[in-house]
Amino acid sequence: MKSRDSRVLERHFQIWREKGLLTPEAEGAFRTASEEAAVPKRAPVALVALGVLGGGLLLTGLILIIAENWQAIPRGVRLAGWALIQAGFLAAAAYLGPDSRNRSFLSEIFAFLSCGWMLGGIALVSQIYQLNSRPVNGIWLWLALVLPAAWLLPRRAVPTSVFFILLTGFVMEAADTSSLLHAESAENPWLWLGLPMLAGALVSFLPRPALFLRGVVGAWFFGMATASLLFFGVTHHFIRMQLGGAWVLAIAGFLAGLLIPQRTLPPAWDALTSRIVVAVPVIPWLLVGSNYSPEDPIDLVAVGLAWAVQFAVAILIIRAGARAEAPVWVNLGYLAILAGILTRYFDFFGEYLRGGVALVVTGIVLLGLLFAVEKARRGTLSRGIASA
Amino acid sequence: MKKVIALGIFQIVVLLGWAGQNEWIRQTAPTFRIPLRPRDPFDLVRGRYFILNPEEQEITTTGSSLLDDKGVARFLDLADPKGQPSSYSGSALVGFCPAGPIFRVCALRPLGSALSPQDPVKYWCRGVLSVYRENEHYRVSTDLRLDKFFLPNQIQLPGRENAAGWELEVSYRPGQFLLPRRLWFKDQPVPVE
Repeated sequence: MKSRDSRVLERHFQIWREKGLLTPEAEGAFRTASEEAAVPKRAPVALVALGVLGGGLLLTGLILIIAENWQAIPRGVRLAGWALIQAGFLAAAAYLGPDSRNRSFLSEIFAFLSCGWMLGGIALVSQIYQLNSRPVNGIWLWLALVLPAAWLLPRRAVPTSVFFILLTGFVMEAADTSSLLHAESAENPWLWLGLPMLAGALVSFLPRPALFLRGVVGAWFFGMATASLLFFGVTHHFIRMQLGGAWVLAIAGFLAGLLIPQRTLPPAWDALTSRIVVAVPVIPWLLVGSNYSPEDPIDLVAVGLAWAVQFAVAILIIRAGARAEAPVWVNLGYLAILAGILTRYFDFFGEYLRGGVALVVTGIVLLGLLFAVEKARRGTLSRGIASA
Repeated sequence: MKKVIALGIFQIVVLLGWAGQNEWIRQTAPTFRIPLRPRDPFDLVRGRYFILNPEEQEITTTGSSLLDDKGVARFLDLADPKGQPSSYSGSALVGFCPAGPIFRVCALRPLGSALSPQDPVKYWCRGVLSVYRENEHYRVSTDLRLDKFFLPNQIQLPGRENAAGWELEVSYRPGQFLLPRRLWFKDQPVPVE
Protein backbone atom coordinates (compact mmCIF):
# COMPACT_ATOMS: atom_id res chain seq x y z
CA MET A 1 0.00 0.00 0.00
CA LYS A 2 1.52 3.31 -1.02
CA SER A 3 1.87 6.06 1.50
CA ARG A 4 0.65 9.57 0.84
CA ASP A 5 4.22 10.75 0.23
CA SER A 6 4.79 7.97 -2.30
CA ARG A 7 1.70 8.95 -4.28
CA VAL A 8 2.82 12.59 -4.39
CA LEU A 9 6.28 11.48 -5.51
CA GLU A 10 4.79 9.27 -8.25
CA ARG A 11 2.85 12.18 -9.70
CA HIS A 12 5.92 14.36 -9.77
CA PHE A 13 8.05 11.60 -11.32
CA GLN A 14 5.46 11.23 -14.09
CA ILE A 15 5.52 14.94 -14.85
CA TRP A 16 9.35 15.05 -14.88
CA ARG A 17 9.53 11.98 -17.16
CA GLU A 18 7.10 13.51 -19.62
CA LYS A 19 9.15 16.71 -19.72
CA GLY A 20 12.38 14.77 -20.17
CA LEU A 21 13.80 16.03 -16.92
CA LEU A 22 14.20 12.58 -15.37
CA THR A 23 16.27 9.72 -16.70
CA PRO A 24 15.55 6.12 -15.68
CA GLU A 25 18.83 5.97 -13.77
CA ALA A 26 18.07 9.15 -11.85
CA GLU A 27 14.54 7.97 -11.08
CA GLY A 28 15.92 4.71 -9.73
CA ALA A 29 18.41 6.56 -7.55
CA PHE A 30 15.68 8.86 -6.21
CA ARG A 31 13.43 5.92 -5.43
CA THR A 32 16.21 4.09 -3.59
CA ALA A 33 17.12 7.17 -1.58
CA SER A 34 13.46 7.78 -0.66
CA GLU A 35 12.85 4.25 0.58
CA GLU A 36 14.14 5.06 4.05
CA ALA A 37 11.82 8.06 4.34
CA ALA A 38 8.91 5.95 3.21
CA VAL A 39 9.23 3.62 6.20
CA PRO A 40 6.52 4.60 8.66
CA LYS A 41 8.02 6.03 11.85
CA ARG A 42 5.00 5.30 13.96
CA ALA A 43 4.67 2.01 15.69
CA PRO A 44 1.86 -0.21 14.45
CA VAL A 45 -1.49 0.31 16.11
CA ALA A 46 -1.43 -3.20 17.61
CA LEU A 47 1.94 -2.53 19.22
CA VAL A 48 0.71 0.72 20.74
CA ALA A 49 -2.49 -0.91 21.94
CA LEU A 50 -0.59 -3.76 23.58
CA GLY A 51 1.84 -1.26 25.06
CA VAL A 52 -0.99 0.77 26.60
CA LEU A 53 -2.61 -2.44 27.88
CA GLY A 54 0.65 -3.61 29.41
CA GLY A 55 1.29 -0.22 30.97
CA GLY A 56 -2.22 -0.05 32.36
CA LEU A 57 -1.92 -3.51 33.87
CA LEU A 58 1.43 -2.58 35.41
CA LEU A 59 -0.07 0.55 37.01
CA THR A 60 -3.13 -1.30 38.25
CA GLY A 61 -0.99 -4.08 39.65
CA LEU A 62 1.25 -1.68 41.55
CA ILE A 63 -1.77 0.06 43.06
CA LEU A 64 -3.29 -3.27 44.06
CA ILE A 65 -0.06 -4.42 45.71
CA ILE A 66 -0.10 -1.33 47.91
CA ALA A 67 -3.82 -1.70 48.62
CA GLU A 68 -3.54 -5.38 49.54
CA ASN A 69 -0.64 -4.75 51.91
CA TRP A 70 -1.79 -1.39 53.21
CA GLN A 71 -1.47 -2.14 56.88
CA ALA A 72 1.80 -4.02 56.48
CA ILE A 73 3.57 -1.17 54.69
CA PRO A 74 4.41 1.86 56.87
CA ARG A 75 3.39 5.31 55.65
CA GLY A 76 6.92 6.43 54.90
CA VAL A 77 7.68 3.27 52.94
CA ARG A 78 4.56 3.72 50.79
CA LEU A 79 5.57 7.26 49.93
CA ALA A 80 9.21 6.36 49.35
CA GLY A 81 8.13 3.46 47.17
CA TRP A 82 5.96 5.76 45.10
CA ALA A 83 8.87 8.19 44.66
CA LEU A 84 11.30 5.45 43.61
CA ILE A 85 8.88 4.00 41.07
CA GLN A 86 8.13 7.46 39.66
CA ALA A 87 11.86 8.12 39.32
CA GLY A 88 12.23 4.76 37.59
CA PHE A 89 9.45 5.49 35.08
CA LEU A 90 10.97 8.89 34.27
CA ALA A 91 14.44 7.41 33.90
CA ALA A 92 13.15 4.68 31.58
CA ALA A 93 11.24 7.21 29.49
CA ALA A 94 14.38 9.34 29.15
CA TYR A 95 16.85 6.50 28.60
CA LEU A 96 14.75 4.64 26.00
CA GLY A 97 14.87 7.72 23.82
CA PRO A 98 13.11 8.35 20.54
CA ASP A 99 16.38 7.90 18.63
CA SER A 100 16.08 4.15 18.68
CA ARG A 101 13.22 3.27 16.40
CA ASN A 102 12.69 -0.09 18.03
CA ARG A 103 12.43 1.30 21.55
CA SER A 104 10.76 4.63 20.98
CA PHE A 105 7.30 3.26 21.69
CA LEU A 106 8.60 1.82 24.98
CA SER A 107 9.82 5.29 25.87
CA GLU A 108 6.32 6.60 25.18
CA ILE A 109 4.80 3.88 27.35
CA PHE A 110 7.03 4.74 30.29
CA ALA A 111 6.28 8.43 29.86
CA PHE A 112 2.58 7.50 29.93
CA LEU A 113 3.17 5.42 33.05
CA SER A 114 4.94 8.26 34.81
CA CYS A 115 1.97 10.54 34.12
CA GLY A 116 -0.47 7.93 35.41
CA TRP A 117 1.63 7.11 38.46
CA MET A 118 1.54 10.80 39.38
CA LEU A 119 -2.22 10.43 39.92
CA GLY A 120 -1.48 7.34 41.95
CA GLY A 121 0.73 9.44 44.20
CA ILE A 122 -1.99 12.04 44.70
CA ALA A 123 -4.47 9.30 45.59
CA LEU A 124 -1.91 7.73 47.92
CA VAL A 125 -1.38 10.94 49.93
CA SER A 126 -5.14 11.58 50.01
CA GLN A 127 -5.83 8.13 51.39
CA ILE A 128 -2.94 8.06 53.89
CA TYR A 129 -3.99 11.36 55.43
CA GLN A 130 -7.75 10.93 54.85
CA LEU A 131 -7.99 14.16 52.89
CA ASN A 132 -11.50 15.10 51.86
CA SER A 133 -11.76 17.64 49.10
CA ARG A 134 -13.53 18.05 45.81
CA PRO A 135 -12.28 15.14 43.67
CA VAL A 136 -11.71 17.50 40.76
CA ASN A 137 -9.12 19.36 42.89
CA GLY A 138 -6.99 16.23 42.63
CA ILE A 139 -7.30 16.34 38.84
CA TRP A 140 -6.08 19.95 38.72
CA LEU A 141 -3.18 19.06 41.02
CA TRP A 142 -2.42 16.18 38.66
CA LEU A 143 -2.37 18.62 35.75
CA ALA A 144 -0.05 21.00 37.62
CA LEU A 145 2.42 18.20 38.29
CA VAL A 146 2.33 16.67 34.80
CA LEU A 147 2.38 19.93 32.82
CA PRO A 148 6.11 20.67 33.31
CA ALA A 149 6.83 17.35 31.61
CA ALA A 150 5.56 18.87 28.37
CA TRP A 151 8.71 21.01 28.34
CA LEU A 152 11.13 18.68 30.10
CA LEU A 153 10.20 15.23 28.70
CA PRO A 154 9.79 15.32 24.90
CA ARG A 155 7.37 12.44 24.40
CA ARG A 156 3.97 12.37 22.72
CA ALA A 157 2.57 10.52 25.72
CA VAL A 158 2.81 13.72 27.78
CA PRO A 159 0.53 15.99 25.71
CA THR A 160 -1.75 13.00 25.26
CA SER A 161 -1.94 12.65 29.03
CA VAL A 162 -2.48 16.40 29.42
CA PHE A 163 -5.38 16.19 26.95
CA PHE A 164 -6.94 13.38 28.93
CA ILE A 165 -6.42 15.23 32.24
CA LEU A 166 -7.96 18.44 30.90
CA LEU A 167 -10.95 16.58 29.50
CA THR A 168 -11.45 14.74 32.79
CA GLY A 169 -11.18 17.98 34.75
CA PHE A 170 -13.71 19.78 32.56
CA VAL A 171 -16.17 16.90 32.77
CA MET A 172 -15.82 16.68 36.55
CA GLU A 173 -16.25 20.43 36.97
CA ALA A 174 -19.41 20.26 34.89
CA ALA A 175 -20.65 17.35 37.01
CA ASP A 176 -19.78 18.90 40.39
CA THR A 177 -22.83 20.62 41.87
CA SER A 178 -20.63 22.94 43.94
CA SER A 179 -18.66 24.13 40.91
CA LEU A 180 -19.18 27.47 39.18
CA LEU A 181 -18.96 25.49 35.92
CA HIS A 182 -21.65 23.02 36.91
CA ALA A 183 -23.88 21.87 34.04
CA GLU A 184 -27.55 21.64 34.91
CA SER A 185 -27.93 18.97 32.28
CA ALA A 186 -25.68 16.95 29.99
CA GLU A 187 -28.59 15.85 27.80
CA ASN A 188 -27.53 18.11 24.98
CA PRO A 189 -24.66 18.18 22.46
CA TRP A 190 -22.94 21.38 23.60
CA LEU A 191 -20.62 19.84 26.16
CA TRP A 192 -20.07 16.64 24.20
CA LEU A 193 -18.77 18.70 21.28
CA GLY A 194 -17.21 21.68 23.04
CA LEU A 195 -15.12 20.06 25.75
CA PRO A 196 -12.87 17.92 23.50
CA MET A 197 -12.27 20.92 21.24
CA LEU A 198 -11.34 23.05 24.24
CA ALA A 199 -8.96 20.42 25.58
CA GLY A 200 -7.44 19.89 22.13
CA ALA A 201 -6.95 23.61 21.58
CA LEU A 202 -5.23 24.07 24.93
CA VAL A 203 -2.91 21.11 24.33
CA SER A 204 -1.97 22.50 20.92
CA PHE A 205 -0.11 25.31 22.67
CA LEU A 206 2.31 22.91 24.35
CA PRO A 207 5.85 22.88 22.93
CA ARG A 208 5.40 19.40 21.39
CA PRO A 209 1.71 18.80 20.86
CA ALA A 210 0.66 15.34 19.77
CA LEU A 211 -0.75 16.13 16.33
CA PHE A 212 -2.76 12.91 16.17
CA LEU A 213 -5.01 14.39 18.89
CA ARG A 214 -6.43 16.77 16.29
CA GLY A 215 -7.58 13.76 14.32
CA VAL A 216 -9.10 12.25 17.47
CA VAL A 217 -10.94 15.49 18.27
CA GLY A 218 -12.10 15.79 14.68
CA ALA A 219 -13.37 12.23 14.54
CA TRP A 220 -15.16 12.65 17.86
CA PHE A 221 -16.70 15.96 16.78
CA PHE A 222 -17.89 14.60 13.44
CA GLY A 223 -19.27 11.45 15.02
CA MET A 224 -21.07 13.24 17.86
CA ALA A 225 -22.41 15.97 15.58
CA THR A 226 -23.75 13.36 13.17
CA ALA A 227 -25.29 11.31 15.98
CA SER A 228 -26.83 14.42 17.57
CA LEU A 229 -28.32 15.62 14.28
CA LEU A 230 -29.73 12.18 13.51
CA PHE A 231 -31.18 11.89 17.02
CA PHE A 232 -32.59 15.41 16.81
CA GLY A 233 -34.02 14.75 13.36
CA VAL A 234 -35.88 11.69 14.64
CA THR A 235 -37.00 12.79 18.08
CA HIS A 236 -37.28 16.52 17.26
CA HIS A 237 -35.92 17.62 20.59
CA PHE A 238 -33.22 17.28 23.16
CA ILE A 239 -34.54 16.67 26.61
CA ARG A 240 -32.79 19.54 28.37
CA MET A 241 -30.69 22.21 26.73
CA GLN A 242 -29.86 24.20 29.89
CA LEU A 243 -26.12 24.33 30.45
CA GLY A 244 -25.86 26.39 33.60
CA GLY A 245 -22.34 27.55 34.40
CA ALA A 246 -20.85 25.05 31.97
CA TRP A 247 -21.75 27.34 29.09
CA VAL A 248 -18.34 28.95 29.59
CA LEU A 249 -16.60 25.68 28.75
CA ALA A 250 -18.86 24.89 25.81
CA ILE A 251 -18.54 28.35 24.28
CA ALA A 252 -14.76 28.32 24.77
CA GLY A 253 -14.57 25.01 22.96
CA PHE A 254 -16.65 26.21 20.01
CA LEU A 255 -14.68 29.46 19.80
CA ALA A 256 -11.47 27.43 19.69
CA GLY A 257 -12.86 25.41 16.80
CA LEU A 258 -13.97 28.52 14.93
CA LEU A 259 -11.02 30.83 15.58
CA ILE A 260 -8.07 28.42 15.61
CA PRO A 261 -9.17 25.37 13.62
CA GLN A 262 -5.60 24.72 12.53
CA ARG A 263 -4.78 23.97 16.17
CA THR A 264 -7.96 22.17 17.14
CA LEU A 265 -9.22 20.15 14.21
CA PRO A 266 -7.62 17.68 11.77
CA PRO A 267 -5.09 19.00 9.24
CA ALA A 268 -7.06 17.25 6.48
CA TRP A 269 -9.90 19.74 7.09
CA ASP A 270 -8.99 23.11 5.64
CA ALA A 271 -9.86 26.18 7.70
CA LEU A 272 -13.13 26.93 5.88
CA THR A 273 -14.32 23.33 6.08
CA SER A 274 -13.46 23.22 9.78
CA ARG A 275 -15.42 26.37 10.54
CA ILE A 276 -18.45 25.23 8.60
CA VAL A 277 -18.37 21.79 10.22
CA VAL A 278 -18.19 23.39 13.69
CA ALA A 279 -20.81 26.09 13.13
CA VAL A 280 -23.46 24.53 10.93
CA PRO A 281 -24.53 21.52 13.06
CA VAL A 282 -25.58 23.76 15.96
CA ILE A 283 -28.00 25.86 13.90
CA PRO A 284 -30.96 23.46 14.23
CA TRP A 285 -30.55 23.33 18.03
CA LEU A 286 -30.30 27.10 18.23
CA LEU A 287 -33.51 27.48 16.24
CA VAL A 288 -35.41 25.06 18.44
CA GLY A 289 -34.13 26.42 21.74
CA SER A 290 -34.99 24.54 24.88
CA ASN A 291 -38.43 23.27 23.83
CA TYR A 292 -39.76 21.85 20.59
CA SER A 293 -43.26 22.81 19.49
CA PRO A 294 -44.90 21.13 16.44
CA GLU A 295 -46.99 24.28 15.90
CA ASP A 296 -43.98 26.54 15.65
CA PRO A 297 -42.86 26.84 12.00
CA ILE A 298 -39.29 27.69 13.06
CA ASP A 299 -39.07 24.41 14.95
CA LEU A 300 -40.32 22.53 11.89
CA VAL A 301 -37.68 24.26 9.78
CA ALA A 302 -35.09 23.28 12.37
CA VAL A 303 -35.97 19.61 12.08
CA GLY A 304 -35.75 19.70 8.30
CA LEU A 305 -32.54 21.64 8.56
CA ALA A 306 -31.08 18.94 10.81
CA TRP A 307 -31.62 16.37 8.08
CA ALA A 308 -30.00 18.59 5.44
CA VAL A 309 -27.13 19.70 7.65
CA GLN A 310 -26.22 16.13 8.51
CA PHE A 311 -25.77 15.29 4.83
CA ALA A 312 -24.03 18.56 4.07
CA VAL A 313 -21.46 18.07 6.80
CA ALA A 314 -20.77 14.53 5.63
CA ILE A 315 -20.20 15.73 2.07
CA LEU A 316 -17.87 18.45 3.32
CA ILE A 317 -15.83 15.87 5.21
CA ILE A 318 -15.67 13.61 2.14
CA ARG A 319 -14.53 16.53 0.03
CA ALA A 320 -11.89 17.55 2.55
CA GLY A 321 -10.66 13.97 2.86
CA ALA A 322 -10.45 13.55 -0.91
CA ARG A 323 -8.52 16.81 -1.33
CA ALA A 324 -6.09 15.91 1.43
CA GLU A 325 -5.85 12.31 0.23
CA ALA A 326 -6.89 11.12 3.66
CA PRO A 327 -9.01 7.98 3.14
CA VAL A 328 -10.18 7.84 6.73
CA TRP A 329 -12.25 11.02 6.36
CA VAL A 330 -13.68 9.83 3.05
CA ASN A 331 -14.72 6.57 4.71
CA LEU A 332 -16.22 8.31 7.74
CA GLY A 333 -18.08 10.74 5.53
CA TYR A 334 -19.71 7.98 3.47
CA LEU A 335 -20.51 6.09 6.65
CA ALA A 336 -22.32 9.18 7.91
CA ILE A 337 -24.25 9.47 4.64
CA LEU A 338 -25.25 5.84 4.89
CA ALA A 339 -26.35 6.33 8.49
CA GLY A 340 -28.35 9.41 7.50
CA ILE A 341 -30.17 7.65 4.65
CA LEU A 342 -30.96 4.63 6.78
CA THR A 343 -32.22 6.81 9.62
CA ARG A 344 -34.49 8.78 7.29
CA TYR A 345 -35.74 5.58 5.66
CA PHE A 346 -36.72 3.96 8.94
CA ASP A 347 -37.99 7.26 10.32
CA PHE A 348 -40.40 7.72 7.41
CA PHE A 349 -41.33 4.13 6.62
CA GLY A 350 -40.68 2.36 9.88
CA GLU A 351 -44.35 2.15 10.77
CA TYR A 352 -45.21 0.52 7.46
CA LEU A 353 -42.57 -2.23 7.61
CA ARG A 354 -44.87 -5.09 8.45
CA GLY A 355 -45.05 -8.34 6.61
CA GLY A 356 -42.75 -10.22 4.31
CA VAL A 357 -43.14 -7.93 1.29
CA ALA A 358 -42.08 -4.88 3.26
CA LEU A 359 -39.02 -6.68 4.56
CA VAL A 360 -38.06 -7.84 1.06
CA VAL A 361 -38.38 -4.31 -0.27
CA THR A 362 -36.35 -2.97 2.64
CA GLY A 363 -33.66 -5.56 2.08
CA ILE A 364 -33.43 -4.71 -1.63
CA VAL A 365 -33.28 -1.00 -0.84
CA LEU A 366 -30.57 -1.60 1.75
CA LEU A 367 -28.44 -3.71 -0.57
CA GLY A 368 -28.85 -1.21 -3.39
CA LEU A 369 -27.90 1.58 -1.05
CA LEU A 370 -24.82 -0.22 0.17
CA PHE A 371 -23.75 -0.90 -3.42
CA ALA A 372 -24.22 2.72 -4.44
CA VAL A 373 -22.43 4.16 -1.42
CA GLU A 374 -19.53 1.74 -1.73
CA LYS A 375 -19.18 2.51 -5.44
CA ALA A 376 -19.16 6.21 -4.72
CA ARG A 377 -16.62 5.74 -1.92
CA ARG A 378 -14.23 3.78 -4.09
CA GLY A 379 -14.63 6.32 -6.85
CA THR A 380 -13.79 9.14 -4.50
CA LEU A 381 -10.74 7.36 -3.17
CA SER A 382 -9.41 6.50 -6.60
CA ARG A 383 -10.10 9.85 -8.22
CA GLY A 384 -8.95 12.00 -5.33
CA ILE A 385 -9.37 15.68 -6.06
CA ALA A 386 -11.19 15.10 -9.36
CA SER A 387 -13.98 13.29 -7.56
CA ALA A 388 -14.29 16.01 -4.93
CA MET B 1 18.73 13.92 30.91
CA LYS B 2 19.17 16.93 33.19
CA LYS B 3 15.73 18.15 32.28
CA VAL B 4 14.19 14.82 33.21
CA ILE B 5 16.06 14.81 36.52
CA ALA B 6 14.72 18.30 37.20
CA LEU B 7 11.21 17.10 36.34
CA GLY B 8 11.52 14.12 38.65
CA ILE B 9 12.79 16.26 41.50
CA PHE B 10 9.95 18.75 41.02
CA GLN B 11 7.23 16.09 40.99
CA ILE B 12 8.62 14.10 43.89
CA VAL B 13 9.41 17.13 46.05
CA VAL B 14 5.94 18.63 45.54
CA LEU B 15 4.11 15.41 46.34
CA LEU B 16 6.29 14.44 49.28
CA GLY B 17 6.17 18.02 50.51
CA TRP B 18 2.37 17.87 50.47
CA ALA B 19 2.55 14.58 52.35
CA GLY B 20 5.06 16.10 54.77
CA GLN B 21 2.77 19.04 55.51
CA ASN B 22 -0.06 16.67 56.37
CA GLU B 23 2.28 14.54 58.45
CA TRP B 24 3.32 17.64 60.39
CA ILE B 25 -0.33 18.45 61.06
CA ARG B 26 -0.95 14.88 62.15
CA GLN B 27 1.97 14.95 64.56
CA THR B 28 1.50 18.42 66.02
CA ALA B 29 -2.16 19.50 65.74
CA PRO B 30 -4.40 19.03 68.76
CA THR B 31 -7.13 16.46 68.29
CA PHE B 32 -10.58 15.76 69.68
CA ARG B 33 -13.35 13.27 68.98
CA ILE B 34 -16.79 13.83 67.52
CA PRO B 35 -19.64 11.30 67.35
CA LEU B 36 -20.60 9.61 64.08
CA ARG B 37 -23.44 7.71 62.44
CA PRO B 38 -21.34 6.07 59.72
CA ARG B 39 -22.11 3.92 56.68
CA ASP B 40 -19.65 1.43 55.19
CA PRO B 41 -20.08 1.00 51.45
CA PHE B 42 -17.65 -0.41 48.89
CA ASP B 43 -16.83 1.45 45.73
CA LEU B 44 -15.25 -0.40 42.82
CA VAL B 45 -13.07 2.58 41.95
CA ARG B 46 -12.33 4.11 45.35
CA GLY B 47 -12.29 0.88 47.33
CA ARG B 48 -13.64 0.53 50.84
CA TYR B 49 -14.44 3.59 52.89
CA PHE B 50 -16.64 4.88 55.67
CA ILE B 51 -19.21 7.54 54.94
CA LEU B 52 -18.59 9.39 58.16
CA ASN B 53 -21.92 11.17 58.60
CA PRO B 54 -21.12 13.15 61.77
CA GLU B 55 -23.96 12.97 64.25
CA GLU B 56 -24.31 16.75 64.39
CA GLN B 57 -24.61 17.29 60.66
CA GLU B 58 -28.20 18.24 61.37
CA ILE B 59 -28.91 20.05 64.66
CA THR B 60 -32.26 21.12 65.97
CA THR B 61 -32.00 23.51 68.88
CA THR B 62 -34.82 21.72 70.67
CA GLY B 63 -32.87 18.54 71.07
CA SER B 64 -30.08 17.51 73.33
CA SER B 65 -27.51 19.55 71.44
CA LEU B 66 -25.32 22.07 73.21
CA LEU B 67 -26.28 24.66 70.60
CA ASP B 68 -29.39 26.53 71.71
CA ASP B 69 -31.72 29.15 70.27
CA LYS B 70 -29.83 32.01 71.93
CA GLY B 71 -26.56 30.88 70.43
CA VAL B 72 -28.02 30.67 66.94
CA ALA B 73 -29.79 34.02 67.29
CA ARG B 74 -26.54 35.62 68.46
CA PHE B 75 -24.79 34.17 65.40
CA LEU B 76 -27.46 35.49 63.03
CA ASP B 77 -27.16 38.97 64.59
CA LEU B 78 -23.40 38.92 64.17
CA ALA B 79 -23.71 37.66 60.59
CA ASP B 80 -26.11 40.43 59.61
CA PRO B 81 -26.09 43.24 62.21
CA LYS B 82 -28.25 45.63 60.15
CA GLY B 83 -31.05 43.23 59.34
CA GLN B 84 -33.09 40.77 61.36
CA PRO B 85 -32.25 37.58 59.61
CA SER B 86 -33.89 34.30 60.44
CA SER B 87 -31.73 32.26 58.13
CA TYR B 88 -28.16 31.98 56.93
CA SER B 89 -26.31 30.05 54.25
CA GLY B 90 -22.57 30.03 53.76
CA SER B 91 -19.23 29.52 55.45
CA ALA B 92 -18.84 30.20 59.15
CA LEU B 93 -16.92 29.08 62.21
CA VAL B 94 -18.28 26.17 64.20
CA GLY B 95 -17.35 25.93 67.87
CA PHE B 96 -16.84 22.66 69.73
CA CYS B 97 -17.11 22.23 73.50
CA PRO B 98 -16.28 19.15 75.58
CA ALA B 99 -19.14 16.83 76.53
CA GLY B 100 -17.43 14.01 78.34
CA PRO B 101 -14.80 12.27 76.19
CA ILE B 102 -16.20 13.76 72.99
CA PHE B 103 -16.76 17.28 71.68
CA ARG B 104 -20.02 18.62 70.37
CA VAL B 105 -21.10 21.69 68.45
CA CYS B 106 -21.91 24.41 70.95
CA ALA B 107 -21.56 27.74 69.13
CA LEU B 108 -21.44 29.43 65.77
CA ARG B 109 -19.53 32.52 64.72
CA PRO B 110 -19.20 34.41 61.41
CA LEU B 111 -15.84 34.22 59.66
CA GLY B 112 -13.51 37.02 60.71
CA SER B 113 -15.50 38.03 63.78
CA ALA B 114 -13.64 38.99 66.97
CA LEU B 115 -13.18 36.38 69.66
CA SER B 116 -14.33 37.18 73.20
CA PRO B 117 -11.74 36.63 75.97
CA GLN B 118 -14.40 34.80 77.98
CA ASP B 119 -15.23 32.47 75.12
CA PRO B 120 -15.84 29.03 76.60
CA VAL B 121 -15.45 27.34 73.23
CA LYS B 122 -12.23 25.41 72.99
CA TYR B 123 -12.04 24.77 69.26
CA TRP B 124 -13.27 26.91 66.38
CA CYS B 125 -13.15 25.28 62.96
CA ARG B 126 -14.55 26.17 59.57
CA GLY B 127 -17.80 24.78 58.22
CA VAL B 128 -20.48 25.47 55.66
CA LEU B 129 -23.78 26.18 57.37
CA SER B 130 -27.39 26.33 56.47
CA VAL B 131 -29.49 27.87 59.25
CA TYR B 132 -33.23 28.42 59.12
CA ARG B 133 -36.08 28.84 61.49
CA GLU B 134 -38.33 25.86 62.06
CA ASN B 135 -41.42 26.55 64.14
CA GLU B 136 -40.15 28.18 67.34
CA HIS B 137 -36.61 26.94 67.06
CA TYR B 138 -33.73 26.71 64.59
CA ARG B 139 -32.46 23.97 62.35
CA VAL B 140 -28.75 24.04 61.55
CA SER B 141 -27.05 21.94 58.87
CA THR B 142 -23.28 21.83 59.27
CA ASP B 143 -20.98 20.61 56.53
CA LEU B 144 -17.60 20.09 58.16
CA ARG B 145 -16.13 18.48 55.02
CA LEU B 146 -15.89 15.19 56.87
CA ASP B 147 -17.23 12.93 54.13
CA LYS B 148 -15.27 9.72 53.84
CA PHE B 149 -12.67 7.71 55.72
CA PHE B 150 -10.59 5.29 53.68
CA LEU B 151 -10.38 1.72 54.98
CA PRO B 152 -8.01 -1.00 53.76
CA ASN B 153 -9.88 -3.91 52.24
CA GLN B 154 -8.54 -6.41 54.77
CA ILE B 155 -9.52 -4.52 57.87
CA GLN B 156 -11.93 -6.16 60.30
CA LEU B 157 -14.03 -3.51 61.95
CA PRO B 158 -14.74 -3.99 65.68
CA GLY B 159 -18.44 -3.36 65.22
CA ARG B 160 -21.15 -2.90 62.63
CA GLU B 161 -21.35 0.56 61.15
CA ASN B 162 -24.89 1.05 62.38
CA ALA B 163 -23.88 0.25 65.97
CA ALA B 164 -23.69 3.06 68.50
CA GLY B 165 -20.30 4.23 69.71
CA TRP B 166 -18.51 5.26 66.51
CA GLU B 167 -16.41 8.42 66.83
CA LEU B 168 -13.91 10.25 64.69
CA GLU B 169 -10.74 11.78 66.05
CA VAL B 170 -10.00 14.93 64.09
CA SER B 171 -6.95 17.14 63.78
CA TYR B 172 -7.71 20.75 64.59
CA ARG B 173 -6.35 23.73 62.69
CA PRO B 174 -7.74 27.07 63.95
CA GLY B 175 -10.25 28.50 61.51
CA GLN B 176 -9.84 25.72 58.96
CA PHE B 177 -11.75 22.56 58.14
CA LEU B 178 -11.17 19.60 60.43
CA LEU B 179 -8.97 16.77 59.18
CA PRO B 180 -9.97 13.15 59.88
CA ARG B 181 -7.29 11.36 61.83
CA ARG B 182 -8.53 8.17 63.42
CA LEU B 183 -11.66 6.13 63.89
CA TRP B 184 -12.80 5.16 67.39
CA PHE B 185 -15.35 2.59 68.46
CA LYS B 186 -16.59 2.48 72.03
CA ASP B 187 -13.65 4.51 73.32
CA GLN B 188 -11.08 2.33 71.57
CA PRO B 189 -9.07 3.47 68.52
CA VAL B 190 -9.55 1.39 65.40
CA PRO B 191 -6.13 0.41 63.97
CA VAL B 192 -6.25 1.25 60.27
CA GLU B 193 -2.49 1.59 59.67
